[in-house]
Amino acid sequence: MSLLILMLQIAVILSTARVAGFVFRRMGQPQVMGEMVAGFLLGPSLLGWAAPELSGRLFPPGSLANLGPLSQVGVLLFMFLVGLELDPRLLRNRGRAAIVTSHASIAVPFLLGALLALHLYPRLSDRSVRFDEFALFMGAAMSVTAFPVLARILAERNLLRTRLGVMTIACAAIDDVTAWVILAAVVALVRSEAGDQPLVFTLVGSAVYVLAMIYAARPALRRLEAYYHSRGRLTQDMLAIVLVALALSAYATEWLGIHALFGAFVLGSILPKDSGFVHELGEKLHDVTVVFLLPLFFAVTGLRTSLGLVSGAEMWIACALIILAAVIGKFGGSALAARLTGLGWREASALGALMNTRGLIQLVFLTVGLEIGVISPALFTMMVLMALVTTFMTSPLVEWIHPARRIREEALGVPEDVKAFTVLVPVALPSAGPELLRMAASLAPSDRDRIYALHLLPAADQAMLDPGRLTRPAESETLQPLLAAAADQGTNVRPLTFMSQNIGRDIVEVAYAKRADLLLMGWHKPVLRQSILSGTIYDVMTTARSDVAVYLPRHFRPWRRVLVPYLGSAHDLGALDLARRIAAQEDVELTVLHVVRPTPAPPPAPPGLSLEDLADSSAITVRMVMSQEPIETVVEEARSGYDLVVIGVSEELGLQPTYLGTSHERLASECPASMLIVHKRGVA
Amino acid sequence: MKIVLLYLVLVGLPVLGVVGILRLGGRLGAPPDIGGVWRAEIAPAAQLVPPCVELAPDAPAFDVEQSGVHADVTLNDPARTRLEAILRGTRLWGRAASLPMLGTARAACPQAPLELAADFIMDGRVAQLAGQLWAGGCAACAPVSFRAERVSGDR
Repeated sequence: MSLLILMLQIAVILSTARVAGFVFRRMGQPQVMGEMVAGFLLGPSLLGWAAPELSGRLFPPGSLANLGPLSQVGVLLFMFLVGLELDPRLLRNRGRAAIVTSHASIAVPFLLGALLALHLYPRLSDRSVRFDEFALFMGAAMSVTAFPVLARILAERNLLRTRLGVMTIACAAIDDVTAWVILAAVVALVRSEAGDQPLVFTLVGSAVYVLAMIYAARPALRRLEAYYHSRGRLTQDMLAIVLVALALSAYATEWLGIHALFGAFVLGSILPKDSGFVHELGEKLHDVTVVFLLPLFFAVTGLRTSLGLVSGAEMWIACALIILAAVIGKFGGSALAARLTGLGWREASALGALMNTRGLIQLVFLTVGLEIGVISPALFTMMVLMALVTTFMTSPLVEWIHPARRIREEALGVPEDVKAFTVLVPVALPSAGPELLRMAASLAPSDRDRIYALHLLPAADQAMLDPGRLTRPAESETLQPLLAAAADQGTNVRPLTFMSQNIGRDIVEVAYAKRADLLLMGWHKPVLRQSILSGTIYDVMTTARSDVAVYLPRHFRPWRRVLVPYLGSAHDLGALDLARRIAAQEDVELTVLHVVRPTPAPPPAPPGLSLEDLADSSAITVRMVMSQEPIETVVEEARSGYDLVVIGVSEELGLQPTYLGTSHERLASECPASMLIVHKRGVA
Repeated sequence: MKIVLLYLVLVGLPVLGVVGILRLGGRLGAPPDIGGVWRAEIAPAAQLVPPCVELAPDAPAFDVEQSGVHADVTLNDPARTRLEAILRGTRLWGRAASLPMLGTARAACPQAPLELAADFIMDGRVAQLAGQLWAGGCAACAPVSFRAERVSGDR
């Protein structure tokens, strides 16, 4: 029975977490914010209040005995990953300004937390907790910054390599390490008072533990890293060794009286920071931790958080004071220190806003505090609310202070020569790169023309955070085949890589920033939609300020015979322009098939076309065909040996951008030749 | 020099402030620790009317979840009645909106709230709560007097 309940709980928790994460991502918030809120909502604050019977069935009191340990394993793995992502180089040689800013970003909120403790201790604590333990915990809790969430926000905004990003990451790393050390001290103090372990034993034992980790465990892990290099990949045995080490390290610190999660964190932080080894290890563990185990932790936290415990004006005032002290201390202290040490007001404010995010790290912190009894359930609830509020406000505040669009425009710079024909090629699949390059190069063959290859990384799917991987475009794995093909052909391609929360919007913005004349996109079949001109392509086609062309390669042979079906629209003119660019190269025959519906009157000359226009190119043939079935006509013509069909979007031909994309584009599916579908800018 | 001054102001002063607060706070008093599970001796009823609340014998009488001066007291009666309580000094005052649903007294006084008053006493190293549970304004049920000892803390 307990297994049945556990499986049901897991299904409900994971579903709720994913849905909430999706909703919050659409609001521009980190995924983890949604998951935290989901846990909160599953607890007595919403589900327990609105549907107590359902809540009682889903989370009967005894069931937490199964859910609790699973969630703690999740926290241990998460803390291991936090340690893994923490690069010790961030803590060294950061310059005096960074030291002042990082220490001030701890000291000021710490002071406010301790000050608040004077007010809260007589009201929300009891004699089983000494004031110094309580005040130290409150101070440390106010000083915490969610390093993982902050780093992710910086990456998503493409700020990691900026001065602001480097300073913020360093400050957050120092803050976190300091806060955890203080928490370890508080845990040791409290547990020694409770008679778990004598304080002297904990202190001496911790020192021995740290020395053992540095001088015994770390060299052993370096040998593991060397073995990783000799094998070229992370084997299951290597992963097992790391997990065993994790379990033993956590056991050691728990036994010493300073909590298991320190052991997990310390092991992660002492692992050699070879990016390949760390990256692969993190990737193996990240998804199961973040997708499966952490939502369980959020749910358990939510079950312990009851808004009903915060009742009466006095308690809500205390809650407001906690939030105020947290924001003033962290935002104010960090921003002021950053400003006084040389950052401009905008950057300093952005740093303060980022440092104010507390996220999951705060929840872990508070859970430890509740477990050891240094904070009461009502105070735990208030502090959880503080964590949610401060994390929620980070993204909108940073966007307001330091808009992402401005950052990207600054990063992209001003185009050198606006007269050159510029093609922007967004690449999603590595295998599509070379063919897209072939098309781009034939459209922009001159040395004066410019080709940009763009890779946008969806922010939500990123596992390990390696700044180098995210902002070295030339090393982007997705662009590698395209760049290799460009090098072989001697084509100059400029790579661009950014993280993105909205792929379609960001493609359009980059195209505008680079003054692209043409956006050349590929297409790969999605799971749910049938049509080509939907999804991201629809978003881009309907909002771009440049021409957009979608390339569907059907073969890899040279384009010797190119067909342009022409019905007279502006999109057809755009298609013709591009086809003429391709035909300007040698040995390309271009045929314009003017399709008209049969009328009694003599057919008019093709609008926008005249023989004089085409006189300079003997390789262009114009033919007129009368047809009631333009799709049939074009398909029939395309089957007669054409290599490429360049065609404007057209409702008449069943090629129209649609949002949901459920219509079947017959022409696209039956045409045997490769296709280039063109949407002219500014035309509906 | 400027950096050193900034460090002293932005870091040194707050650290001194924390040291001062720790010293000052050492003199602060906190409410007594009443959180945990309590086992009670129930005084025999002197009246012929039923008790206002029926606590299960041979089991812990109530759980207290404490947050400073605020406490939730959950009785071990069949309805697991919950009282919201507040500590004033060493005296605990609690109230539930009505008598336990499954108690016999509820029929006689359906609107009467269940009330609690108890004094926290330290008998050597043993924490005790001595007090009474009764139905406010209801003579149809007998108050329950008890003396409870904590059997386990809520840490």
